[in-house]
Amino acid sequence: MKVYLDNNRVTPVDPQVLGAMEPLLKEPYGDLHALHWAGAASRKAYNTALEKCYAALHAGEKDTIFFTSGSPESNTTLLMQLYTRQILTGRKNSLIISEREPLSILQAAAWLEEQGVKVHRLPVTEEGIVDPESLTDYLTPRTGLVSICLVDPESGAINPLEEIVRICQSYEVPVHTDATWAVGKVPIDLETLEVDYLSLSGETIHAPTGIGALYARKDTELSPLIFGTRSAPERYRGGPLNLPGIAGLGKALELASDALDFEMEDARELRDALEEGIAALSGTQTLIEWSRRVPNTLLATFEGVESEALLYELNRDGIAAFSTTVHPYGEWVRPSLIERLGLDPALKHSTVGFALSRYNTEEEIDYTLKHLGKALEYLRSFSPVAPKENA
Amino acid sequence: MSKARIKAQGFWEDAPFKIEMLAEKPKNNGRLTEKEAKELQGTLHIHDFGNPEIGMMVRWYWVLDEAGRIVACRYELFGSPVLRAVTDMAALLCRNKSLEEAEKINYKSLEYFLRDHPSNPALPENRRYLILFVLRSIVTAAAAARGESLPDSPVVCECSGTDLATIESAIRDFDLESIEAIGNYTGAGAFCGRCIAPRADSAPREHYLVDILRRIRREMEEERKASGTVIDKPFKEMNPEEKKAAINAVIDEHIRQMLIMDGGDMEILDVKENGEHTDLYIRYLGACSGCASASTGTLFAIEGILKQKLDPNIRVLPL
Repeated sequence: MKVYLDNNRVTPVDPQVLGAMEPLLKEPYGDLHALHWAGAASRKAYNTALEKCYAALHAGEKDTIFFTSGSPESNTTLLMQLYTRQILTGRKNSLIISEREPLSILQAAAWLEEQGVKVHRLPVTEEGIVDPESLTDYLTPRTGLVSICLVDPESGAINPLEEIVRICQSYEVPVHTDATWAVGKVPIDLETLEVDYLSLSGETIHAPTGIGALYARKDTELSPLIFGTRSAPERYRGGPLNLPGIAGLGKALELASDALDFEMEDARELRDALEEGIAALSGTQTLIEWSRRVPNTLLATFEGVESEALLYELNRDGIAAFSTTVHPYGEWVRPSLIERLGLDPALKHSTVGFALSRYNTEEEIDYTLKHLGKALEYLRSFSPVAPKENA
Repeated sequence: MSKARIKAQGFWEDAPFKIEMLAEKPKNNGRLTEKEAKELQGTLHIHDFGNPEIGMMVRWYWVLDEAGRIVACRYELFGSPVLRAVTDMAALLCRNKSLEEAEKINYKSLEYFLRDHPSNPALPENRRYLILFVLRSIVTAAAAARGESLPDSPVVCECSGTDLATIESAIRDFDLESIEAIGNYTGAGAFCGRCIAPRADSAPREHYLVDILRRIRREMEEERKASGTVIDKPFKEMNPEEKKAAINAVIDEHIRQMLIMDGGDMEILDVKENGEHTDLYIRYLGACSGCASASTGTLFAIEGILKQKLDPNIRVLPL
């Protein structure tokens, strides 16, 4: 049995999304600016997808949404325009991010730092979220941007963004959020969540990898990172555009917002069943309080067991999970979550997480729990730091 | 970057068969008790090395007999499956060795025993530090069993728990020239990267890898110049006497230990020029003579090492 529980990295493509993309993949599709029937069909597909994106995010008529190759490109576009248009011109001089941002923001911020930009990294509290009050220590009228991800990709903690936005608005500083791990898991209504910029990506909402979007509220500044503009749809990102991807993203966003309530309730029930099962095992602990987490994610520590060893045992039984510390994935650039949460540093290498999607079933969760218990027992049978009752 | 570098690095799926087998079904893991030690007429020594904070911890259980020989060897482990495979192989190698012999197990021999084929490295470059970790654990366990303690050395990299002495000796032993190579062999600097060079976003530290590397490379260069024994010309331009000396040096450094570990040895009979080739005539000694692998695997390994270290046109002919 194959169980896929790594849905915060990449999700399987939804059949309905595939259906929306199929006409563009199987038959010739024209360039957006072509003067023939194929071009007309492409323009129609593009407009339909764009409408769906606006509707799903509740974006205003005068706001901008443009398609990129994914949230890393959206984030980079935004930070580069901050540098070239606001910092190099001397209008602004600093950037505030959280220390657990996605890799694209952390690395872009490190690069900006090398160029002499002041970068403040907000630590996460013992609850695993950014404390909005800590923002006021760093906010000045010359802060160019505050960028805090809506949901932490590893722990699933939801940052209190509405409060962050409120504080930033009083200082007139624009706010950006990377909502890649939040779309389809928490309701995103841009009428009430007044962020100025928002990035999202297809691979976490059952659309294919390689498509994403950047939202910008009206009257905010934007400039392209990738040139090659021919018309308004390509104003902020040179074309030709990834039309099959855009059609897929539009459909996926529509599904994500329409089905949010009941599908996430299903995922939440399964996640809670998994969480209960894990809590029943000895020497385990779930990180981040239940109410502060997205409904599909669960990050736990397993005392006396190394993350990679546990992932290896799970993988042998066909279960795909993730960990925050396994080496070559680059998670090391972030400070350890375990230390921030005030837990025993010996647990640093003992985290394994599970991210569910609407495709997981009860049967899969039972199977996972059964094999998880077996793997823990086996690994603890020769672990020098196994919890007492096993020793 | 080359194609080989850009290719997606395999993880567990590309591990050699031997490592996969040992990770899946380790044979020497578990505990030994005082009772079992008594039955074996030996004393039990338990030694911890590493800690869970760096993601690697091994607890050795050794039963030593009166002559100080390791008659039984088991381990408990907190670490990745690949580390499990390496530790399991090390436990196998430690058995029936005296403490001194166990200490002498070196990187090459342990790594060689993990290979599927003599010419394919057992571990990907960025995981070589696991072998050094296990070797360090054996050395400290042996010292502890004798009641000695190793000199203290400051920790340079907290993420991997690597101390200064380990980094210094790794640079010398493996002739490391880059920070990346240090990370591959010792794990230092391969994680959060704060110990590599001073950074704006972290507090100043006592030791940085760039400084250590520069200092040791300078010392090595000076020693090399001072010794004066190094022949500084390409292998092709050497005269037969110099060629013989160069081949001898490579065999002593890279090959002989490997053979001695198996109770064998070899000697060089002659080195002859044969057109563009250099023919090396050798004789196997001890267990190697008559070994089935002497004309296949072992021979390819010897030839491969000489070809890589000296000249691609060397041929090895056993008599």
